[in-house]
Amino acid sequence: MRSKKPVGGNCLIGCQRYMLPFFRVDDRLVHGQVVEGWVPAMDIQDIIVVSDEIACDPLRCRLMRFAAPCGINLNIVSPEKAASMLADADKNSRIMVLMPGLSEAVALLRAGVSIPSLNIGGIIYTACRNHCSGGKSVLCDEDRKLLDGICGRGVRLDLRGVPSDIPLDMSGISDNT
Amino acid sequence: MNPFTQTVIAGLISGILTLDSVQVAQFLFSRPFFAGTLTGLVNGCPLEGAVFGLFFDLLYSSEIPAGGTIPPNGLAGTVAAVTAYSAAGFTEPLSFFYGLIFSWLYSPAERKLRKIRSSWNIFFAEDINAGRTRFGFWFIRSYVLEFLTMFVFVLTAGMTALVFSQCFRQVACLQDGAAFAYSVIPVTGIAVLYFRFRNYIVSGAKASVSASAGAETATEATEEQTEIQYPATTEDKKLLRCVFGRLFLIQSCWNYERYQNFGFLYAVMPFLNSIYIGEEEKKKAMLRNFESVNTNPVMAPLLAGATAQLEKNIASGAEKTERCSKIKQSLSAALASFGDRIFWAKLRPVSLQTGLFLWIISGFSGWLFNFHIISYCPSHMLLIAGPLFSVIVYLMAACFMRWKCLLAGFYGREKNLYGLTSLPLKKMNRAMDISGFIFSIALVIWMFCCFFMKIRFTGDDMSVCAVKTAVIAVAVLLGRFIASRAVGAQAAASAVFLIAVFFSITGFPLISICL
Repeated sequence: MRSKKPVGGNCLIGCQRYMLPFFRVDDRLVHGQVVEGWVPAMDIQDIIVVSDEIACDPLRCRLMRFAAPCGINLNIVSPEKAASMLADADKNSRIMVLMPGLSEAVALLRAGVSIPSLNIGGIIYTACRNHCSGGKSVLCDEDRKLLDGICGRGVRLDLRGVPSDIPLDMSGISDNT
Repeated sequence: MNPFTQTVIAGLISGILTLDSVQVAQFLFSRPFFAGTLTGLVNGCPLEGAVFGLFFDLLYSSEIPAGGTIPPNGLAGTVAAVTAYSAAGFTEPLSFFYGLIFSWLYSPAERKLRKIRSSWNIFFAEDINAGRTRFGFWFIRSYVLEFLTMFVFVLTAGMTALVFSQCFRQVACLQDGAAFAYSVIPVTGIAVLYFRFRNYIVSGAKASVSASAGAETATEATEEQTEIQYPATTEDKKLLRCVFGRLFLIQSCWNYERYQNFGFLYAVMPFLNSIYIGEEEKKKAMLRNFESVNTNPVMAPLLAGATAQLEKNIASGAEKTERCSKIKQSLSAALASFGDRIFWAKLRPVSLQTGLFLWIISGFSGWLFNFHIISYCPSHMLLIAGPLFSVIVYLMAACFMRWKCLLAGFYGREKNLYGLTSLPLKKMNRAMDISGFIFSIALVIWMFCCFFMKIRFTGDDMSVCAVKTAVIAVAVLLGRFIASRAVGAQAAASAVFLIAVFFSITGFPLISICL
């Protein structure tokens, strides 16, 4: 079944074609939506978690490695290391890049990684920083700035949790004003 | 009973059952298989209700509510289908596809509810600061809202069906198309299950091959399974029992901003009460645990147990609060990763299959065909036994796991990942793969035997047989696409329906090739 999927690093989900590597921002990192949703749908083999903080924390690394599905190659690295890993990666390898926040995505862009489209799974509702009021999600100033910066670099945003979701549009997200 | 009463009763049942799916316990009484049978029993059409439920359950078995995604709601769809059938007098196939529309329409309503509940966080945080906790007030408010939404939704579905029942009865091509598409659904459903589990088996086998090769997975630190000592004192036991009970409400007030924070704080309150004596410290601890918690409800007890540990460390000054919240976050993601795979993605379909086998063993196979042809109708006891059995299988496994997780989290230490390594999670995952795969194969073989018998004994001529075989092949292929998540189950079923209607408009004799 793998051989019939298109090689050359892209895959079709619904009506949308995704280029691989697949970039996703989700503060929960490796969890149900990723292991049950995206990994089987895209036939992912490598997951690169981009986070300085977790890479320096052995306990959290152990937790994450323990929870990763069998047969998936999990790397937890800093943005710079991730950029070099992505540059060296085989063209046909099926990689997913997970970032806990938008700042890591900006760091990757700064390090010279080209991100054609960025999936946003779990930042909009991140507690403590962003909140919801009256059915609208409100981003804090910092995230709003980062998001604008990312959009400004021509990255297409794709707001959804799992492949079968209908992507949300940005109109549901407003400024902090 | 008049149609209006039937609709109201269906609405009441679905309103109560929907609480189980989101807010309370997740015992899967809300699974379509069970809900359909129950509503059907009350509305005087248990057989049709059970079959609607079964089809929704089969079709949606690959859609899982992981991390707050809202799959199409099988419960709403099933109950809408039952009301359309019993109250408005739709034919069975048309009621099913009518229900399909409503299962899809309910998701936005659910999403809206979760957004509304997000705004409650601020009020509750203020309450904590003011030194009072009104869990009951918010919980009941959220239950009532959820109940009313589902009730009104089903009522609307029923009323709409009543209004349109006259129009639909006239349109023959719609009836034919629906009948054909409906006969394809069980085949596709069984194929979905088969390909899902086959994919799990294949990827699991590949993983073990690459692990034995060893070269590539060198970075992977394998965790040994460890044993935990349970130094149970009577006080601890009492505390744990109390928390265990409270954990069934962990998904109450589920909201998009902080997920399960209401239920989680409610569950760990006994721990906090026993650890903190000073009011100020307790308040701080409560606010800490009121931050976002997102994990699988069945595995959540481990997080609650680990929280007791971490809070003790914070109270004694051994651990910093920020680090604890980071650990909790990582732990909840790890638990969600296992819990969503084992319970939502695997145990739910496996328990469905056990219920189905109960039906098959006792000789009820009419659901596979357009069962007008098969005149055998099982007794009500048997009809309800299948769904009930599948619910009980899930319920027992989930309760057992919840208790084990709570103990593991409470007595686990940092070196064994807060008890995570003491649970045989990977083995369970694998066992679930294998049992699901065996069940699926048995189901597929049984299905083909049934079709063979039927085609042989109904005396169709060769060309019709050939076309029917082709239809089965296409249905299986469709199941494969759904299982690989290339296309949603909802979209696929609707597409089949529309294509069938299109064919019957063009005058193709679809009814003669119904499976």
